[in-house]
Amino acid sequence: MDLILTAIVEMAQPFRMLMLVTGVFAGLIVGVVPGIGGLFAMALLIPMTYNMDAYAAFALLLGMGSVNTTSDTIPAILFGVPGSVGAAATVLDGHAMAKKGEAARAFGASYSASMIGGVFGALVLAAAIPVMRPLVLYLKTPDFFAICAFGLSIVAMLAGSQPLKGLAAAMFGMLASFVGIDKIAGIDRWTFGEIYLWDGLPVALVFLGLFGLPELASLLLRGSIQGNAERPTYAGMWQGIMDTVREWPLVLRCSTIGSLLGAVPGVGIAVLDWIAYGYAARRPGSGPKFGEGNVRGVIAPESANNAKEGGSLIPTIAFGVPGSASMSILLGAFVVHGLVPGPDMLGKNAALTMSMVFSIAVANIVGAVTCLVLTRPLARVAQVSAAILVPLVVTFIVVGAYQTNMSAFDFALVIGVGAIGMAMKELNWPRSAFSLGFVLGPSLENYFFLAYQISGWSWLAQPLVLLLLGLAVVGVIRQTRSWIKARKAGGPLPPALPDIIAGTAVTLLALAALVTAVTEFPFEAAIFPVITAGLLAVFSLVTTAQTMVRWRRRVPHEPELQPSAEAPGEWTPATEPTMKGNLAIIGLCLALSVLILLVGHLAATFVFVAGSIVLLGVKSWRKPLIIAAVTTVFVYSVFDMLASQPWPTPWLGHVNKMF
Amino acid sequence: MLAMIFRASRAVSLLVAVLAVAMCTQAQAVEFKTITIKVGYGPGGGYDQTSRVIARHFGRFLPGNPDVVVQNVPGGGSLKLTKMVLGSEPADGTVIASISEAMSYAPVLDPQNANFDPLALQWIGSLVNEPAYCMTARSTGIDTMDKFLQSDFLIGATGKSSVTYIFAALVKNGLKAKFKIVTGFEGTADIELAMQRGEIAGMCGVSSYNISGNRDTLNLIGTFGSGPVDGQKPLERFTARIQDPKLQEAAALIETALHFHHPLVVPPDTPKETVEALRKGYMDMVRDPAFLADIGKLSEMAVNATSGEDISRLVSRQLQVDPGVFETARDLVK
Repeated sequence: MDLILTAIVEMAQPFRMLMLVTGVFAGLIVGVVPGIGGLFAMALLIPMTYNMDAYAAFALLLGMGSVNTTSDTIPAILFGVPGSVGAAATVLDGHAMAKKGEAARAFGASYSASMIGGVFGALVLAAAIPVMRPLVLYLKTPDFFAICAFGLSIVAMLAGSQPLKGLAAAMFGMLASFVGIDKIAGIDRWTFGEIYLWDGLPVALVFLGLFGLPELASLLLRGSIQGNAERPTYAGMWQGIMDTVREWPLVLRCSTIGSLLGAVPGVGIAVLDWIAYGYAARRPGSGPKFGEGNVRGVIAPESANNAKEGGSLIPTIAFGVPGSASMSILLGAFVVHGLVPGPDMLGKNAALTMSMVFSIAVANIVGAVTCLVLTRPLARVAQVSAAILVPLVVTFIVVGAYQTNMSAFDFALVIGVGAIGMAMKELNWPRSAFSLGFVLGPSLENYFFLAYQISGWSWLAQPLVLLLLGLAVVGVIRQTRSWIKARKAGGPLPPALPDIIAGTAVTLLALAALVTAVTEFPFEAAIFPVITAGLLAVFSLVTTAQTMVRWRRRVPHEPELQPSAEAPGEWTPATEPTMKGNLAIIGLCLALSVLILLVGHLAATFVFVAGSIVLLGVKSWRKPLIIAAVTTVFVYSVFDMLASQPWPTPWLGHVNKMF
Repeated sequence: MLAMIFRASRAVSLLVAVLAVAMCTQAQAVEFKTITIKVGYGPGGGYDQTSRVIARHFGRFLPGNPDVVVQNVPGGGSLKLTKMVLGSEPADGTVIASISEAMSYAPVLDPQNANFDPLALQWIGSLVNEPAYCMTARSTGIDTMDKFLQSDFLIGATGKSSVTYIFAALVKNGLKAKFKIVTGFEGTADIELAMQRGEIAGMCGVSSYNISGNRDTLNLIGTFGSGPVDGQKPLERFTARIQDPKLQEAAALIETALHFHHPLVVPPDTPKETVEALRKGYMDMVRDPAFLADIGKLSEMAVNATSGEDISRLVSRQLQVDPGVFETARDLVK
């Protein structure tokens, strides 16, 4: 009790509270802008804390780190573009709600769920203080493998109406995650001699392309986010908050998932928000199907990803082992302030640990309230013309992508993955399953080899491993049975011919991967890719064969294109000429990429925004120029001032130098 | 009289200033505007943190008082950045790279990297010159070098090109030790946690930074390199036990890099004046109390800088040995 009081008294000092609030606002901005994540922001903030006392420093850093999972839902819900990797699961139902004119409700539900999740995570951290060290020591390396395997089994819940495609998508994601230099043998896998690929495909870019770009195409075709749906009301926000309150058992369960898995190194927000989403998808409750704007699909990942901050501090504080990537940066702050993670943080410096609990809790509350206040103007964005929104969102995706590595490959990757995401969206290959495979692949492989090197196969008999693997198997069997039962149900399916082409392409890719892995990689670097590629080849081959049978048997009156409310999963039959929209988005991205390489990101932003708004149908020149100027100033303040970093010299700059 | 001297000295200093300006414009003296320190590792680690401290101070010691910013270019334990510095980075002093000292012998150890020449890199200076250790958890009971070399146990390491692996392999192969090396840990903190869980017994290649927090739960077994060990009883050097002169030469080659932890480099074609200005600024910086106070917050390790000239000398001596020794060194750390 004394401890809590001491912490509160210490935190009550004006400067420390000011730092906390400053951190919260910085964190909200970082969360909203796709491309810069909490990780990067934390690295930038650390040097600023050198001259502060430890309480103020951690208030600033944790204030920032706690809330970017609150505000990253704003672009996720409005545009289908995840503001950070932790918002990808929110895209599916949150954006679907916005399309139906329920943006305000989705905001209300997501912020309130974020707030409760965040405070819950802080309480878990507080409660863990006395038992933290034995708790972390209890989990052994094989348990981490089992946790990841269990997480992967959630793919079964995300697989949608064509489960084989779901499984294939998960294997595809996993295969993609093996690109780069492997940890065990130290050889490069599928890097094609490109240094860019050594560290693998950057997660943030993959998620931006996979979720962001496909949604933009349909936004462009609809004309505005909610199309002709009703005008949003402020009451929607209260409805969303009430949804969260009504679903309190779900909120608490997903907060538990978030805070506990957050403590497992290697399981980041990108993993645990899918696990929470898959968990919620098992019991959809009343309301629309998952993927079509079910509010539970927003509440579950949002409560989980905010709860993780408290959880991931547990191993960081107790052992100096970062529970997440941003925690490894936070460790730097520990050292700067002369703190040694370990027993001292739970004894001598326990008041400081308690102040971190306080910071996380307060930051979540302040962050959520700030976002709620902003809901009304933000929900109005849903009615703004797509001709204005699309260029703006494309700008943030492309500039954000470029700042990842400042390389032309960033553009190629985000656009390439975007094209794959578009195809997956049209042809019912669940992107959620791909994501989960992609983020879990490396952890699974690494923990497996560690466990194997440490104890051979005997670890398979450990109780927790047995329990988790058992649960995973049971879950998959149950889901398979329901698939078999639903097999005859029919329902709409995507057009056959493109599906066959895509399926064949994936099979060929899998076979190529299989052959190169077998012939070129040493055994320990090959085993996981070989299994994954093999399964991918089988799954995609079978689903292609199924589609071919369906195509041959096709009845003259195609039932496939009728939109139906019965379609489960994240896929809905296309009702628009999506090809045109997709090509337009890719064209816009390419144009902006070339402009950035030519004249630099600022001039390119101005020219691109003004030009494309006019191109997309706004008649006057005045409005586009004003919007372009404001966007350019915003890009400058975020990517040059807030995140001060060197940008490469544009090509025209080189030409200039020659004369 | 006094006034006259004063006026005269003022005139002289004015003249000197004018001359200096004139000479500067003529000889195009080095002047820095903005410098980017690229770090070969992700945010948060030792390389990143020391680079960020250096970025805060370095500008004060360079002509033109440039702004210094940090950018992370992680990949292959800084091999990616090293290749970029040798290939594509601008050679005008606008980019400095913070890379692993192990890059100085990367082509020796891995024939795949044979196409790059560490001697071509221009070394600016390094922060730390200290030995590395092997250590075990106290609970294992392995507390002497004899037990360490003769018992069956597990040693944790990160990647195969990391110092945690290289030095463990050096002991295992050079002294026929019986332990097994487990690779694939995320970082040294993860290895220490696995030691506390009792999953593995110890680790090698660690610096004093890793043992500062919990010295009473660890056994320090022996050292690599000849740098100073502060405040403890002297430990035996592993390489002193190697009998074969060829093996010993190869081991010494690998140990050399311990003299220049956390080095900074610039691309091969950087003009001589620029390199000299950077080297001078670096050595001035490492003597500056404000810098030392900031870096002191990072860890217990004391700054013990090595100048760029010395590093170049060490690297060239390292690479001048007989090619047969390279071969031996390669087998030694396999």
